[in-house]
Amino acid sequence: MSEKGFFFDMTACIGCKSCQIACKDKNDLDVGSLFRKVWLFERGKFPNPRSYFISMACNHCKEPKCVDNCPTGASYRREEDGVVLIDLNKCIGCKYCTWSCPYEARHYNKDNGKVEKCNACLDLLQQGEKPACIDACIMRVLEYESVEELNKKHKETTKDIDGLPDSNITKPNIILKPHKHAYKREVR
Amino acid sequence: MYTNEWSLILFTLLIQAAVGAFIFNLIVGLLLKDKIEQNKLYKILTPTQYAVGFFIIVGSLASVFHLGTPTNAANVFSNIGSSWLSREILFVGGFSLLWLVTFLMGRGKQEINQGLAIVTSVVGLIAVYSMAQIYTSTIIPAWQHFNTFVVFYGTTFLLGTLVSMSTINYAIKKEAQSMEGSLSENIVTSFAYIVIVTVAVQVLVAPIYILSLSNGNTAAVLSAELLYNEYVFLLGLRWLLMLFGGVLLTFLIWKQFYASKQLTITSSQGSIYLAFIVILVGEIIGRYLFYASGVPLMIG
Repeated sequence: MSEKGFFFDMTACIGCKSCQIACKDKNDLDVGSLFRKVWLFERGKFPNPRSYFISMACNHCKEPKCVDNCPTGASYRREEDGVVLIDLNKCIGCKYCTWSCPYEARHYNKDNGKVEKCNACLDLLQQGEKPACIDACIMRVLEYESVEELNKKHKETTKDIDGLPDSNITKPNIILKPHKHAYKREVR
Repeated sequence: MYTNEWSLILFTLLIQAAVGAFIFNLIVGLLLKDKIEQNKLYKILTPTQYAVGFFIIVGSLASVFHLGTPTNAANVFSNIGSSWLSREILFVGGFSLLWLVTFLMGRGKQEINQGLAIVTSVVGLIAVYSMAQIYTSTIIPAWQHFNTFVVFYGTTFLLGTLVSMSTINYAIKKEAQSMEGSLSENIVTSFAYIVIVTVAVQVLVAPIYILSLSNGNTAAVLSAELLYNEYVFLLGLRWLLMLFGGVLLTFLIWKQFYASKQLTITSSQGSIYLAFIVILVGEIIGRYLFYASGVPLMIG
């Protein structure tokens, strides 16, 4: 199985949120629901302020807690590429998965009483296109490919930076090129 | 005002109270087994069974209200291999079914099958364990703590003893039974001790819990801050009520030893009912705070 993951180049992200908007548009999301979100981090103090952006959707983790905890098996991980999906025919809307995701990737939809999230734009991928967020990015900082390919292409990457949960909790398939202002995650 | 999780507050409190009341009812049955007539014993223990049934039904209904799409519920056992929620539904369902069988068989024979009741109690305790595990298996630091087990089992023992003492007292008065002094005295004293010890354990664990939250990650600190800033009044009230309930029952036992006053269930009923109400309100506030302070691990 060739696991797929997201690559995000923090050094070039300008925080324009085109990815966030493209995703919201493509998935026709309601107010308050975002599958991909852009966070601004501000650290330090004048004369040494630090700031950087993180754009993150579902990380299609290697050890997804949401899949382990789902009582109906509606949340599952595909064998062939590790994409984590929700089978809406089985979801009972108990929201336990929203308590299990460290990245806030899952959202409860009041209208249909089920949980939804980023599905890596599988429908677009099937047509040979890229996920909406990747095509929308004007700085070309996002990529979605097999993790092997990404690791070959990009060196000096990390999974853990200040502001993100410990990657050992769910082993997210995310590869970050860290911004110089984004220190390694502090371990308490 | 946090209004999201009333259905779960009700569900967890009611099922835990049901398990506790069933267990303590069984303990009374075992203590009195050879000391009073079978018929009389059955009549004393039956009202608690009705209370347990009522809690199970209302609690289960409340839990269904929490679901967005209950019609897909046929699949809830699909992930028993890894999901504590799947397991909890199994054990709560198992406890409910076993309660029903115990109840119906009891009505038939006018006596409660103790073997079956013991099995039901064990399944009930495992159900409470599963409930606590659901919360410790999330990414919400305020819930991923030993304190969750302490408060869930705390509810089971506190509300369990107080409900069963109240319903047994009601049964005794209704049947115009008289229970020989020393018999009921032992029951009241043992149950009072259970309540006092449970309150003491919860009171001792609480500051350790909040301290460890304050020294945890960002989400943990936010949870602690919610408790001692926004919800400080409710937090204080909850512990005040619990302590008051504990002190009330301590006083009751003191009266027995030092004032040499005979303690029967009926003579202590004032204290029992008051402690029940006070501790019940404390428990409701405590569970509300549990859900209200659940800040998830997030980005940033």
